[in-house]
Amino acid sequence: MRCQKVRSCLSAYCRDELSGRRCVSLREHLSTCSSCRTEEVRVRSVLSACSEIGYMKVSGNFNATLLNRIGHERFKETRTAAFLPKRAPLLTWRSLVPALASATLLLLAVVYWPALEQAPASVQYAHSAQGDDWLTVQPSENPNMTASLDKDWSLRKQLSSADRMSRLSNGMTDRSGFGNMHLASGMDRRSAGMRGTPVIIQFYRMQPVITIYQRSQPKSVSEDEEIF
Amino acid sequence: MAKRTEKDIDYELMRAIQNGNMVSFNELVDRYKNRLMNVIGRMLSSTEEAEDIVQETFIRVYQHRQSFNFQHCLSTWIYTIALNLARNELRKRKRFKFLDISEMQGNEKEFSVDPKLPSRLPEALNGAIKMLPEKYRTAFLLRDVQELPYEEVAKVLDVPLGTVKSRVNRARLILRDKLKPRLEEQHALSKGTLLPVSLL
Repeated sequence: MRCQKVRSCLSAYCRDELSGRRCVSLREHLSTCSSCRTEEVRVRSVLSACSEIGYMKVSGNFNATLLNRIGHERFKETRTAAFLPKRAPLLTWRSLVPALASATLLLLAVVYWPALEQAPASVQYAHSAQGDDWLTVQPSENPNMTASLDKDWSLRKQLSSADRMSRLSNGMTDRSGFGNMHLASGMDRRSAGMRGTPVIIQFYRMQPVITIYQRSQPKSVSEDEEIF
Repeated sequence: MAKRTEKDIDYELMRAIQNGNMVSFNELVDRYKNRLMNVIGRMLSSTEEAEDIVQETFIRVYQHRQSFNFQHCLSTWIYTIALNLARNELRKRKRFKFLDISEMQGNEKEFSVDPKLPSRLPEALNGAIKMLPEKYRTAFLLRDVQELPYEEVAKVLDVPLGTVKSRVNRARLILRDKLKPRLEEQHALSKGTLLPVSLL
């Protein structure tokens, strides 16, 4: 072994950390090389000095100071989330499902409300089996109705009659070839369209409940007009 | 009955600490406080700072006692925490006071050694250790000062075994070079070629 190699392994040799073969070859070199032997002495001095440098120790009140700090840590731990009661989560399935259902219903109502408002007039009629006491404006007080009211007139009868007439007229005008026919109620399309808006008699509760078209005065039928 | 090893004692103490036993924690502190101080005290310039680091180490051990994995070695875990805290402290302060042996060489009084006085080599070695680069110093302190096995040093430093051996060897060579004048003086004194001042 060369001196350079020996000197790099000297510290391990002095600590008995070398394997058998390398240790033997190093020992053989040391027996022949005085400079390497001198170097070995120096290395052994350094390593023996390591055991003489003294053992550093902590101060006398180390344990007391440490336990005091640990006490603070333990107090802090009791203030952490692990010790405090858990908050209920803001969003759970139990709270989300009703909210989602309400939102869906609201959305459906907003989307389909205009369609509901355009329902056939017959759907909007309030066929009440009760009397007319619920009307805020009684028919007898309506000057437009006084002349044509029968003694046994009732709103229910009127509504039923109007509903019946409306269904009949709708059924007839829907068929092809009846475009120029009069409506079953006695009003023709031309008169309805050309004379502007017909006279409207409305019964109010909170809002218009029904709209009744008052019959116009009968006129003479010309040969050109077909009467159904 | 099988003899309890150091590891077994450590594990028993750790289990008791996890169950809230402060007496076991105190015993663990007594087992490791001086070992840690012996290493950290030579890494930092101030004894007070080193003691602070050692205290902080035990506080961290207490705080994370529940997360300790019993498949690992407790001493390795404690040393790792202490060394990381010491490194953070060194980086933070960027302060490293050391004894310059070359300055001591210029002082002639230092060479007038009285053979009756204790050898100055250990003090010189202390100063030389602080002059070592950080990675060599840590490996040297754990292996040659604390006398931990190479395998444990490798786990503490989280480097391969060969790297640890290389660093320790390199540290020894640097120390030998740094202490060469001191060693030659000692050698001369022992041979009688250098006389103390009092005899001149």
